[in-house]
Amino acid sequence: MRGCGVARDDGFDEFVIGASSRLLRAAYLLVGERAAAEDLLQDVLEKMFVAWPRIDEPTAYARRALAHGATNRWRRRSRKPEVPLDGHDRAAPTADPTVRRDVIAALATLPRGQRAVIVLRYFEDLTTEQTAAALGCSVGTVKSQTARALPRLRDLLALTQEAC
Amino acid sequence: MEIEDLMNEATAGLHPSPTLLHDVRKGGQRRRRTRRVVTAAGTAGLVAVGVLGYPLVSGPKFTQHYAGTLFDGRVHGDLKADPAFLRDAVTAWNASHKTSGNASRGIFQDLRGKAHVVWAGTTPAGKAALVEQDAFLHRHGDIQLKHEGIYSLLGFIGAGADGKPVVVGDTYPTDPADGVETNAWFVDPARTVLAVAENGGDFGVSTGWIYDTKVHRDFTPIPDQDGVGVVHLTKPATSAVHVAQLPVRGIADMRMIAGAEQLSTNYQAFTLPWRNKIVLAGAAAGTGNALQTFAKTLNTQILDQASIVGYGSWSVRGATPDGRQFLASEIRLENDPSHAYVLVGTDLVAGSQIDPQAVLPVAVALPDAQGWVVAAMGASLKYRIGSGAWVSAGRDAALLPASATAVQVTAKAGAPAVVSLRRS
Repeated sequence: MRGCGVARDDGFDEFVIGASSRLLRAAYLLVGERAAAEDLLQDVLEKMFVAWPRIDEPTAYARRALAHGATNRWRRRSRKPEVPLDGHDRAAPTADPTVRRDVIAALATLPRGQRAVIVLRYFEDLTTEQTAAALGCSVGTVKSQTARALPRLRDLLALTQEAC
Repeated sequence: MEIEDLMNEATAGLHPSPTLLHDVRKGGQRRRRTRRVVTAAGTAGLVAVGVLGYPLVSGPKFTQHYAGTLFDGRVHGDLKADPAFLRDAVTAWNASHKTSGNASRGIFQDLRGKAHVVWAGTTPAGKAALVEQDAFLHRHGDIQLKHEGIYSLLGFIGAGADGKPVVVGDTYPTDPADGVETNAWFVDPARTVLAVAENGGDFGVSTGWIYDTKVHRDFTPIPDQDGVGVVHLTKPATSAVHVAQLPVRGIADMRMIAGAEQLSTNYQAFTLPWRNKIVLAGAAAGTGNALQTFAKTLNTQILDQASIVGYGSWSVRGATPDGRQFLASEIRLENDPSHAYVLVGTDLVAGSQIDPQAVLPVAVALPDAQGWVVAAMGASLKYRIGSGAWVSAGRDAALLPASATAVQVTAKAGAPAVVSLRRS
């Protein structure tokens, strides 16, 4: 039954169970802290719960909301760079902690728009058109931000891999 | 490695909380109620919102009961013929619902039939029991159900401080996709005796991680006594105690223990806050990210049973007298205190539990008489052999000779302190 609430058989539970791992990973890359990523994802999913009967493409909706939520969060924090994780973050048990730290630190050096473009293009594997739609900007903006961000990231991560 | 690969690796294994769905539904309901109340200020007809917020499915179309030998309708255990205890156990169950942690999930709001004991037995800590009762579980923001219907509830009965039956915890069937099942409970308040509803399965208990050349757990099989196994722990349990179905292949085989909720360790009190990257003489240059190598090696050694793993943000690198590269740091699993580890070549050498307040927090003896790796960041270090003269070993960290017997540690603005080196 749709329209007056979220019934158990309308696919919301299945969407959360099936998509939340991937969305949490994207949120983590966007905000750089696990706790903040969990808060952001829960916030987005709660809004989706309320709006569920009107949402036609849940995954796209969630990605867009995550990107906007991360952007708003950055705005609230006056664009303060995220603090890279230390070795004791309550993070993924199988993830390599140093890779995680290096990637988050590198992403934190990017302006928020570039960071969101990189996460959507290269983690979520969206096309430039899909990324533009998700972020509400032009395809040209996605391309130019990608062109600026990618070399910087590659430099930073290559340097990190060499450093000890 | 490409950007996409690095981002995937950086987030590998990152999973949402098992309670995410229920948290989202709860928060979403709250938002929806708030919105409707706000709307209703101008539209009176919309004020009426169901107590639970969901349309109910009419009639019990779905049932989910526990199955197996333990739930065959008979009472099991050596106290099955003790009617007074069986009665007391049910009385304790009936009186426990308001204070249950599951009360907010509404599982007791529509109980069906009468509670009955499925197992009652004697344990070293007193009498214990397992009680079952049916309930119709309705959709609710605090519970994850795929279907409304009749479910079995279980009550785990232990012995209170006065020896009388007390409900340690309760549960209802859990979908494996939504969470981990509870099938064990601490019988006594001191948590020295554990009862496990094995129900014909093979279960084991582990009292904690074993820090050796491999970081691992040993699960001791729990003998099944008429459906329930009883374990007498040699000392009061910590949060490191785990029960799992055998053979243990990963986290999915773990089970929850009722009564363990209050057990925790403040691991941050046992973790070094250091971020120093110390490079000693002989350390190879250009070997890549040394901590990354450390973490990868440890990852291959750790069973997929640790829900939280942390590595040190500090490291000490150098070379042993026989020419092997080494790296020292620390590792933390779940709520355990950190332990020092040294990676020598490709071999792991276990150190002791980290005590950040210790004068010399890290002192690890390397095998094959390759020396001692010691570290006390910010302090100057000296060592001696027997009653010989003190020899300077620099600051922060050092590789000392295997024959060293004591270290003198002088922190900034502190008096020298002497620490004996003893192989465990």
